[in-house]
Amino acid sequence: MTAEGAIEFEALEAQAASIMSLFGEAGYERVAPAFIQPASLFLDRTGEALRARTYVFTDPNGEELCLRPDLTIPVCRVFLQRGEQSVAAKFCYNGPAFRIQEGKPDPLCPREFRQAGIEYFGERGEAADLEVAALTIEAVRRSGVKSFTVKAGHIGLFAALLHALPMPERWRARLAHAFWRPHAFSEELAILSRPHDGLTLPLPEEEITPEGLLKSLESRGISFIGRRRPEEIVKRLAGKAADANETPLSKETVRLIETYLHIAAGMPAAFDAIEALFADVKLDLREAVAQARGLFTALKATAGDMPIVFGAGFGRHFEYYTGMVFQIEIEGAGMAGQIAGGGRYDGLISALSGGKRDVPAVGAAIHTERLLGATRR
Amino acid sequence: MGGKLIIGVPSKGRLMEATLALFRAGGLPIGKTGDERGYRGAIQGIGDAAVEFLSAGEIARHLQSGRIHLGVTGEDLVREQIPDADERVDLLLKLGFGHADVVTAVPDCWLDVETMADLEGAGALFAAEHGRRLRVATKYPMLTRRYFLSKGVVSYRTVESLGATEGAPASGSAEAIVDITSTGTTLKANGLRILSDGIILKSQANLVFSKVAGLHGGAHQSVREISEKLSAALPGPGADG
Repeated sequence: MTAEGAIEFEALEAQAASIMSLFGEAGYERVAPAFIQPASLFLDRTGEALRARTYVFTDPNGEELCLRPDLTIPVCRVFLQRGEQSVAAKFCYNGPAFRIQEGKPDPLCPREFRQAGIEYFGERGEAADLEVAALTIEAVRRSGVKSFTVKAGHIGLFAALLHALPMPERWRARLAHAFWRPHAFSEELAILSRPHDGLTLPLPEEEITPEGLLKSLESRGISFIGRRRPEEIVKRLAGKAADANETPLSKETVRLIETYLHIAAGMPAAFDAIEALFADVKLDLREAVAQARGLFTALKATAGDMPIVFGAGFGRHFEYYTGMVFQIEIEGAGMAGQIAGGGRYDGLISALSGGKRDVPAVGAAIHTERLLGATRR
Repeated sequence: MGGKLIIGVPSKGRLMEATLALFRAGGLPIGKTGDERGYRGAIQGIGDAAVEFLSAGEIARHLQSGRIHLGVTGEDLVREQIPDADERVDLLLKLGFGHADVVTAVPDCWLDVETMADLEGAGALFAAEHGRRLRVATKYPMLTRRYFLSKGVVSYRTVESLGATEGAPASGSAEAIVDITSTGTTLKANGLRILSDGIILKSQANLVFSKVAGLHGGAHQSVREISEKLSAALPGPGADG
């Protein structure tokens, strides 16, 4: 359903006008970021999977540019351009995004589609999470979709669980890093729960220092090249050496993580199950669980009859999320049924500003062609 | 060109010489038609065949679109340029020349990186320390993406390499590379080392048939004849490594 035909164009425009007026009434200022963006901002954040679907080109000055594959990062740049004095802001937008689609053309996965969305910068608490999710649900409902499901998850809760479990910090980092890829995550769990024997280090343990590394390279006739620093190489070698002496993760720890990630149920059953699981093993995660329960209980109240399904392992798709995540879906409609989604991404502004600004953020976007399709079901 | 069978033959270098020699050895000598510096030819004995001299990359592309029916090109180019290669083309025959491995290589000084899994670990740390992804310079972004994903490597980004890819880590324009190598000498000279599970593809020149070109009548017979004669002209099994 591209908007090329006049009737589709009118229908999409009318739908967008109603969504934007809802966002405007809620205090969100409309912004219109550039279609053409510096490519590296996306490629450094979102990785090769999205790169393969991004139109990247080089202009005659040699600058690598892209057609925006998504609007969140461009809107973050608008926020950063406002400068230091702007500590909080609420933005809304409606406009095209562009993605390469492999295979046969599919009207519900067009290469050019319009996103309507909101981004709320500068607020850390559950109130902002709730506001963004509730407003997105309201926009979908007002557009005329009669029945949908809200799938939700919470990345922060998983981070809190990892923090509460006994293991070295670098193992937490490994598991958190692999979280986004369920298959790799299972492999990491398996590796960390096995004894680390049979490891041969390329350097004796006492020589694992930047100086020791450089000296060893010199004696082997290897020159040091590239931008990766000796300290990084040493850090990984030291980690490998320490892993060899570490007690593997216990069966109970592995089972707890796996059981947690499999929890998926409606509200409040999901949180009853989570509390029961954690009570069993006397993990003190009470505060984090209570906050998340409060958030999704409140969301359930605003969603009315629409079911909310909380999945502890849900949200493993966009690496920049750090807290609450949600997706509004028409059950059984596949990709075409994924009409809106969003979440909290507290690290993105810091990453985009090279660490100069640390601003929490939460946002959501609606795939407007799919929304229009859903209103006609 | 009518109902002719169109065959793409490499237009320069070792690949062209080896192709012409093999066709000659198979009793199918290729001659140029018209101007000696032109890019068209014919095969003696196969009346309905027209030869086009093209770059190896163009041959892969034209096999994908079906503009040519048959061609000699590297498997690396077929896999890189044709996303759904198995649906669009048949690799009829390995020709025993044009050997090149597509490999993942890192600076030899990375003593902590032996395997693709190590590369992922190094990439994750690199992103945290530098605020950007570890860059992999390559002329093979598709092959790189597919292979890295299959090995669970995601903490990187590709950068397009136009010139000498092996020089990218030393010059600082990338941290690691995916490139072709036949002997490994150039990699070594540039301070690079192939990862233990870093061989992506062992490539060589192939006779490739386009399944989407649409061929009718006696042309199929000609394809079979060319394939059989070239096969008979190849050195015995094992000799092509």
